Amino acid sequence: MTARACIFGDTDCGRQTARHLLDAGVDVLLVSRRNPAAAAQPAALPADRAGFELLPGGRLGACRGAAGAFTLSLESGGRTVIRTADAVVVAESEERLALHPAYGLHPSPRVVSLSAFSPAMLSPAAEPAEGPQVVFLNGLAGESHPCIAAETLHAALRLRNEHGIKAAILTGNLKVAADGLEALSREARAAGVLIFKFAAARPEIRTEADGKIGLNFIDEVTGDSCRMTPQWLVVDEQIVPSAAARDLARLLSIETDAGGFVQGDNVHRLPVATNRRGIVAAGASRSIGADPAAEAANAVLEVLSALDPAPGDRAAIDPGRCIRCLTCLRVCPHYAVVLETRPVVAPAACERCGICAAECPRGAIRIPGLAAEELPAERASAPASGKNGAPRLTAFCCSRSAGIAARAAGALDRAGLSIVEVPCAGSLSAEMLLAPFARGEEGVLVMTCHADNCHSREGRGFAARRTEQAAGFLRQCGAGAERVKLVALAANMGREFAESVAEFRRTLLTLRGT
Amino acid sequence: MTDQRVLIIGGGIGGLTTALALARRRIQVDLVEQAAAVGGHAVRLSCKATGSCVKCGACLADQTVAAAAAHPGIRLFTACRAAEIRYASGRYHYLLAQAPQHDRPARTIPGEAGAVVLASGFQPFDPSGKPYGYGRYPDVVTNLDLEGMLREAGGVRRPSNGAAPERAAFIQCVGSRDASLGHLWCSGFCCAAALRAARLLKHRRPELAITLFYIDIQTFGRDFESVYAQARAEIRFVRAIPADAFQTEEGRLRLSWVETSAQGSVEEEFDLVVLSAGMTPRPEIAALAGSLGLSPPTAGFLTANRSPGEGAFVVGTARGPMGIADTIADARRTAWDIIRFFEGRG
Repeated sequence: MTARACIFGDTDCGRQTARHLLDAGVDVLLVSRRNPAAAAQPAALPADRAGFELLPGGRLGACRGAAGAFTLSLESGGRTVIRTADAVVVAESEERLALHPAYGLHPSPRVVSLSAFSPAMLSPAAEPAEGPQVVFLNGLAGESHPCIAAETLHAALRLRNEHGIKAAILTGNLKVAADGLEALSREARAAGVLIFKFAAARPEIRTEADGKIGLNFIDEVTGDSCRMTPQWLVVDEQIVPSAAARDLARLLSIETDAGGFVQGDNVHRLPVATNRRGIVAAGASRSIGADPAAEAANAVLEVLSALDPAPGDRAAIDPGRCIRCLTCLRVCPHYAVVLETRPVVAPAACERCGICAAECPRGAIRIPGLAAEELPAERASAPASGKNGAPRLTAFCCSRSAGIAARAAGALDRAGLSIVEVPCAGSLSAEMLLAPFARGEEGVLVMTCHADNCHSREGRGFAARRTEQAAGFLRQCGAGAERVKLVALAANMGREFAESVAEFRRTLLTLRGT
Repeated sequence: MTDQRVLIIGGGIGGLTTALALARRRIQVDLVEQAAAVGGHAVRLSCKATGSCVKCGACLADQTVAAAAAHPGIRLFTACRAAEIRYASGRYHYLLAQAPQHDRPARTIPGEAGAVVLASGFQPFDPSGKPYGYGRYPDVVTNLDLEGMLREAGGVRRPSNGAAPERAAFIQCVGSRDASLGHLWCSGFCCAAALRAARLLKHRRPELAITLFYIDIQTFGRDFESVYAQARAEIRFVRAIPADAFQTEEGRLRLSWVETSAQGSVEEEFDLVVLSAGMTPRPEIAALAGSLGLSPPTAGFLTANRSPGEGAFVVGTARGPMGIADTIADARRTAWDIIRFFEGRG
């Protein structure tokens, strides 16, 4: 059966993703918010391709299931359409927010937003003005973006070069961190565009009774007072995710960043992954100014990898032990547990973090290679405690961070140390943390990613709580709560790994004396 | 497609990410790295977490190295260079020359690929020629030197005497946005890197006073706005680039700058100066591009990302300054372009 991807967003990025997926033999359903007349642009859409379906005027109502078997309830033209898909791509557009209110301004024919401004709106008989006739505001009400800086510089330069009109740019940080922008800003200055920068103070902007604009400020370079009375004031804009993108994030249970873009602010999602396998965020849905072609290519690779057969080592729920308490459904950060007559794990969506297995009160969830008795331990060949005094201890390491750091820890003294890698520290149950003590070991380190760096979002939080539980148990037995310790380490902290182990050994040696 | 092979020149995060993306789509990769280990500049960077992750992405480099080293579809040749690449009837025939390694003598490895990726990366700007005394005054260091101190020594000390610094300065745009050098580009990564490094130093030693000299703070997006606001509360920002640095008799560094013409020249002393050295093109890039039929560099970088109709591609900072996140996206995009090229789709 041919796999199908559902793409939300009749955008350049969405259409390129559709074309590439069709080329790769994946069927495509493109959900366009535009009405049938506007969406039907055969030239722009792969409409003549077998396996392509366009749903115009459509939007997502609800999504069930997981990677490999999403069921989408779509609303289009007053009816509800049900479609299945193996993968979902969010490729919606961005929106622009005019920043007039942030400057205390109201839109008027003289006070326009950047995207509404065009040199053509200037009448040829422009009134003569002292100083620049057009003033652009940039990055003075919140930080700007290179996309906005580029548009501003281009517009000012065109006014100067093509229309002979004087322009000034009043700017906060001028964002030139993109191809060619530093050169463009120099070109604009050389052509006579005035650029005034503001570090802390801001220009005073007044709308006079006759509707004219007056700007007063101190030039921070010369210290001179300046006054400008331009005929047009062009206000910059903030680029924000579209309402459609934000709705999709909510309906698909996708993490968003501080600005509402459809991708959690977690480096492990880069470039286009989300917290759910099989759901991809691309283009303007996830970031500002991304190249649509590059985003489409990234989206296709991510979709294809989600369509690869799921490995056999994913979580599985034993129906004989499951009491349908739905703890797994609640805790899975990847939404890989779906509810049929009982909860089951969708293998294509499972990231094998093991959080469900550790949380399940019935011990009904097994992950091959992860059950406590199966844990692969890199046993140190060093003698046990007593012979040379080195305490025996186990370091449970998240394989994404501390496990990599451990391998790079050059100065690490491995005497008495067992390193056990787990897919995520969230997979460690309190029983697993206590097991080394039953073998006569003296301490346990729980080594996780830093907060906000966990691939499984809450894995670190779960590990912290279970470390607390294990510590509480050790305290009650009088063994010392300090014998179990949580440490956050990144993959590039090999030196800190060795230091943490050494420091913990010293703690354990101190505890021997008590 | 299993018989397809790609040669990748450069084992930084761009080359390694391209290699992994191709190998995961079952394309064989030979990756050649001239240094003794893969990872490039990114594996010299330290984690900047201050309690929680600050999203610098440096850990991704170490993860990528580990994943590429473990992938059976990727052959990594370190201390090695592509001695010869010949394009004939749609194939690249190459000879890799590997320097002697601890366990084997020098050798040459012949190979053949349907595509070649140039991922040779950037050259950090060498600030020796700038009037800050880099190379002469031990307490003037670069951003990469600082990363090395954090990563290898775990903390920052004045190289001159091993003491903890009391007053540190960061100078941005050293070798970037510099018309006198013909460097009409912003290196993009240094503002974010300096802010994170400065905040980490401050987090570890709150009594350390930090001044950051800048032209424009370039970072944007994600939760930068709040990070910037926090940084402004902890760090003194001066919108000026110091003209020069002199070492005083007491071994401190005197910086002078002009903040506004009204105020005139200002001088202050610091005991550690960090130069945010930008990205510059690698000198060998023009010759490599020529041998692969790629358009010659403009302003030093290779702006075209592939050779028309042939299988030569450029990835990452060989194309121009970019940070880790953009390099990863560029690498995967290139991998997909190569897959399409192999399928005869452009």
